[in-house]
Amino acid sequence: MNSVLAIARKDFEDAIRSRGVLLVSVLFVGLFVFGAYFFADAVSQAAQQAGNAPAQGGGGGSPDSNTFLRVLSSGVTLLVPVVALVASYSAIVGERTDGTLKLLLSLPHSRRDVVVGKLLGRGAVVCLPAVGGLLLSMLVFPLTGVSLKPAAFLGFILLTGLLAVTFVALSVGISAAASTGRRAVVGTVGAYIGLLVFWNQAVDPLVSRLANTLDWGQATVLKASITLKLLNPLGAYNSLVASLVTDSTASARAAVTGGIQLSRQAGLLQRVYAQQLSQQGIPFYLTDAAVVAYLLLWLVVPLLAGYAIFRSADL
Amino acid sequence: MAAIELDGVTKRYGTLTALDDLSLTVEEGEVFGFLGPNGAGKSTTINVLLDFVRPDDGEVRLLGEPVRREQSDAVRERVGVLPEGFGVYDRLSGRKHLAFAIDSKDAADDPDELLARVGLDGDGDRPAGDYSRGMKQRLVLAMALVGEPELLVLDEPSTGLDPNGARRMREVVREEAARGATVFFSSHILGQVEAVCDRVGIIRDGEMIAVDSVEGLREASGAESALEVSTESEASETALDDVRALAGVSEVRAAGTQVTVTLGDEVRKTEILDALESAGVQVVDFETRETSLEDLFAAYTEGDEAENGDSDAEDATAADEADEADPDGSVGDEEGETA
Repeated sequence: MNSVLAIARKDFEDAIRSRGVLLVSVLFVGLFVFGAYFFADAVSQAAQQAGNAPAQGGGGGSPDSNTFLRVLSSGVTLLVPVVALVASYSAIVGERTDGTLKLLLSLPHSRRDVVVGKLLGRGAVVCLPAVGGLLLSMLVFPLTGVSLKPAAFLGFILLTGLLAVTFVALSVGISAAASTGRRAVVGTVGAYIGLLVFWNQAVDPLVSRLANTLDWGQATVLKASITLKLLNPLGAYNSLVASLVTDSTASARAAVTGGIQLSRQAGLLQRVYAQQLSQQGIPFYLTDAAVVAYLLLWLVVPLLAGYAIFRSADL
Repeated sequence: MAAIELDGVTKRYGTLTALDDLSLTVEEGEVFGFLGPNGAGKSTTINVLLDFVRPDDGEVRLLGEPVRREQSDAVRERVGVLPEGFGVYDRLSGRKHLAFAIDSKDAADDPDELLARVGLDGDGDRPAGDYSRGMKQRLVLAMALVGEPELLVLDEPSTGLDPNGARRMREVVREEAARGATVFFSSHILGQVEAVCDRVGIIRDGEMIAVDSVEGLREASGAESALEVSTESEASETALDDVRALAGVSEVRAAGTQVTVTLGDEVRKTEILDALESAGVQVVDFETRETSLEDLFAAYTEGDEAENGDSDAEDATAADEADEADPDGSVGDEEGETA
């Protein structure tokens, strides 16, 4: 059998025997399925009370599964990366400190096999419950009479899987680079907090300083700010989800300007930004494909960097 | 082709030199015992062989292929390893461990057969986390045996094994050698190495101080190995003569009810006891005084000095030591020597 697959399979078999993974699976399935149920229930009750209620979501018309995805995506943005990081931070350094890495490398596996195998194994451990939970939650919509947009929903599932694998890759990269478990913990927690909290806070001061020195116009400032926020994997994910549930790429890109959550307060400003953006035309670096590429960078770069350090390490 | 070749390998950890210009060749098909006290550099040598650590200098070849990072996969399939300081996957059963090794090596072994060979039959379905230290050692030995490797590298294989387990380990080593495999194993216990090896290498402070056949090793250490027998009454001269007549007995001394038999070569202890008993001497107790590793080092290092005329270097060290103890006096000495 292929070395990478042998490691991935072993890792998966090992992980599914842990209580933590069971807990996460229950959490994902519960959150997605019950979330969908409560959403659908609230929608139908509101419809009964108000008759023709005004639309809650962006797409116009009555609430559908896309509205659910908007609500869900902010929760997923918080939860899936945490689960991915927690499930993977010790993937390699844990084996290094408890000596099982010696077993692994005594067999005909290279260190690259270990890194890639771990990515696949832990990726499967995190993706299966997330993707499975979301697929199950799709079944709720036909049962409750809220209309289901299957293409957007499947796209959301795919993106969420990609988000999960990206954070697993980030975490495995850190785990490969770290020589002690403590360093891996500090690295992953730091990465998460940094991406969730500090990244977007840092973007605006940075852009305004650049704008001052380089004499940027307002349009450039907006594009620079949006691009930098899209380079954050959480921002990229949110903007891609927004692409699925809105018709306009401009408003999907502008979705990152209000922070990572699609809150109502941010809505007005986002609409202004979206208008500006669509008037100027979407540059290539703000297309959906570019944003997917930004997300994929996070999948590849930390993993390669972690591997480079791991490769040259004495064990 | 040599199974293992180390040429001028040096490995430093900060200021500590773990391996100092170490060269060693293990021929194909031999059972090579790698002997040295804890901390002598045995595990570092094996870690260098397995590419766990990279040497600062020197060349390493495994089955003819140079060991380079990430480039030894094909060779690794022909090598079975029992590493030192390993851990097992606590949640996975012994059988899963073997299945993983079999998958990894693209082999077709039967896990049950392997479990039986190392004496773990019946324990294969338990999680390895529940195993005792010795059982884990057996499990990883079984993993090393997967795929009939051409070379077995066993780092302190007897760690944590009870006498039964240690005996089975030796049996496995003999079986593998009989199959034609090269076996390289390290130990800090002389007896384990002596019992199964064709050749023995002795390492101390990161340097090979001797590579010798087991006969050579016995010669160097033979005089030190002795059997002390307590008898009920004083042994008669005839009884002592009977013992002296046995092959492999080099000296017999008696003091009161204590008989000391020096073993020059391989000799069964029971033969000696039988000889005494049949001569009418009642044996109360007996004890084997094994050659210690330190005795052996002494035997080899003393020999070295005589051969190589290392005494100058030894003097210099002595002078250095004196230097530390009494700077004023030895500075004068050194000046005297140079002049």
